[in-house]
Amino acid sequence: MIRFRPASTVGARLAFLTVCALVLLFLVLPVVAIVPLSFSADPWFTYPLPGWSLRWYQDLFGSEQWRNAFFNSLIVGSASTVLATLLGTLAAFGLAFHRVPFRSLVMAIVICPMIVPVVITAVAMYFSMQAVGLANSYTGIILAHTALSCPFVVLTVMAVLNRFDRNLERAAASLGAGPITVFRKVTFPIIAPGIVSGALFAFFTSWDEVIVVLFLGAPDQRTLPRQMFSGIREQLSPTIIAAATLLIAGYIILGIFMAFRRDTGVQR
Amino acid sequence: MFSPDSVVSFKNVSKTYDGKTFVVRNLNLELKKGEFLTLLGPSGSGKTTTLMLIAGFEHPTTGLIQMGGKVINDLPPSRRNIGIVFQNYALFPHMTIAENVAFPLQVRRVSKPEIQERVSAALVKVQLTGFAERKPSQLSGGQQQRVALARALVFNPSLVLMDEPLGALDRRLREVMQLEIRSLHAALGTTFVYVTHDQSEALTMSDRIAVFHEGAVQQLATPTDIYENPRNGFVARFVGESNQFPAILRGTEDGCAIVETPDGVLKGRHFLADEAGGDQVLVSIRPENISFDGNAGDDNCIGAKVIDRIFHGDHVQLSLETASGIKFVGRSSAELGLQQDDDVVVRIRKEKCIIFSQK
Ligand SMILES: Nc1ncnc2c1ncn2[C@@H]1O[C@H](COP(=O)(O)OP(=O)(O)OP(=O)(O)O)[C@@H](O)[C@H]1O
Ligand SMILES: [Mg+2]
Repeated sequence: MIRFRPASTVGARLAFLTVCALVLLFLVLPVVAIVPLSFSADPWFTYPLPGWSLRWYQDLFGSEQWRNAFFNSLIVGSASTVLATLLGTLAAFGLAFHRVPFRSLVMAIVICPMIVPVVITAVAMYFSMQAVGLANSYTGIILAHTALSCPFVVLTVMAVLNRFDRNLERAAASLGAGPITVFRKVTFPIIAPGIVSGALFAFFTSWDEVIVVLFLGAPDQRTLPRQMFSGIREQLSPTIIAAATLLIAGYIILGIFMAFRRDTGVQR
Repeated sequence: MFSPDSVVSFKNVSKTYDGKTFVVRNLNLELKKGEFLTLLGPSGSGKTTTLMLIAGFEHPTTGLIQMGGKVINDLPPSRRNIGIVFQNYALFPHMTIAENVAFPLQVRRVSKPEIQERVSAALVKVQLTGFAERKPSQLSGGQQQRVALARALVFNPSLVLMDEPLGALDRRLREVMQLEIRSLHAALGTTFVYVTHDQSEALTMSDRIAVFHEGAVQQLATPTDIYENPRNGFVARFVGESNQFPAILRGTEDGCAIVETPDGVLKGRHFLADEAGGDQVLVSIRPENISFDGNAGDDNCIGAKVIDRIFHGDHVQLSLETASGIKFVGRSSAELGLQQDDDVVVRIRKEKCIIFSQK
């Protein structure tokens, strides 16, 4: 819950709310502004709209390129999410629960892909993947995306583990549960929300990612962001905006779902 | 040597975490079947470590821990059949109260109907029927405490360990829970080991008390014995109140020690080992054993001045100081009417005046 500090006067409060509204508007307005263009009857990006149509959506769904890009994104995203979640969760357990020599150095290395500019990671990935023969391959992209999303998983899972009361594990053990049962029945259910949000972060890191794909993907290996990116350069048409609108709708639905989940989670 | 009524026994157990400082030193301890044993001691004296050694979460550096005649040094906690109540309760937050209490039965593969029956019986026992479907976060501290108790008892453990289980509760609730735990213990007949640093809690609840200090048991005895016959200055100070001041040993006579203070000679019971005349020793007197009907010149009578008087309702606490500057505290009934700056002669009966070696 957001709690406002009590503003001293009604005027101050009003000014505060206005500024908040302006900031929020600044954040969403550019995105919202392009949505109507995807329903435009003409291929020109102009307001006022010359007329309404769904032709760009027809284009989108009819195009094999877009369909492929969508499925490629889905495959790359899912595979790298599974890998990153697995590796990141294991790393988080090690870092949070065990004595690790040079812990902060290890942390820094794990977090690295999040901090280093993606272009640099992408170049480095390109050279190293080429060295092992994985450039221009989905495997290469998946591995690179795994490296990029791992830090998010490590950080979110570590956050829940640091709050996790290890006495619960001792309590469970004293009540007769072996180590596997303790993990299955106590540790995992309690930290699962952290793992899920780590996995979501991981998925959207890959889903959004264009630079690494540009470096590592063969010309015909297109994910959604890459398809949009090259679309903008090659033949700018409202089809891209139609795709973007669908993605935005997807994000909104997901956001509402997550907010709802969190609210009911707190109640229980 | 295994006696059938011993549940757990420690044989020369020592524990160090860092290889240098010993947190538990050469501990020999026998838990008797069905008793309520309290480990009492100041913070850092090794009580929790001892409990964790019993539970199996820590392992002795040297020595043996036996349970039912078998050495259990390396038996995992899950196979010891010991119920533990943690200070912060450690209830599983994602399970309901009923699920929490059912947990030990589920991992033991007890049948569903029997689980149901035993869980509701356990909840009745701790007066929490009607709370079964709630989550731990929806209960008060005292109620969570009861759930933790029910969960630790429902699988009929051979031993129940509690580490300062009432530490987080307010005073009134604490007293209620003390009585409840006591009567649960009486009803079940299970062996309880209870950790606290609150001496009055230890005195009211226990069959026996082990007083810990710096990793070693200073004395292991019944509450009465601990209070009446403390074995050393630390126990006398830590359990109940004691006035303690140094004196010079002059000798012993009919089993009594005779010591010299700057304000006169005192006779008392003693727990001395190899002290000889002229050695410094420690005199220990409880405030309630000081009476104000002394005559100057009588045995064990000392003159003093009242320097402060604090009203406590049922009694008055008097701070006293002798001519040579020894300060001590006494208690009297308010009717006695002693006021600040009054001169008094206090009498200390020789069986209530205890002489320890100076440590
Ligand atoms: N896991 C550990 N690693 C290192 N030292 C420890 C560990 N656990 C306890 N100690 C040390 O051992 C000593 C005894 O600790 P213990 O927890 O047994 O004391 P306690 O009697 O339970 O005290 P309290 O009343 O404060 O709970 C302390 O000095 C503590 O710092
Ligand atoms: Mg402790």
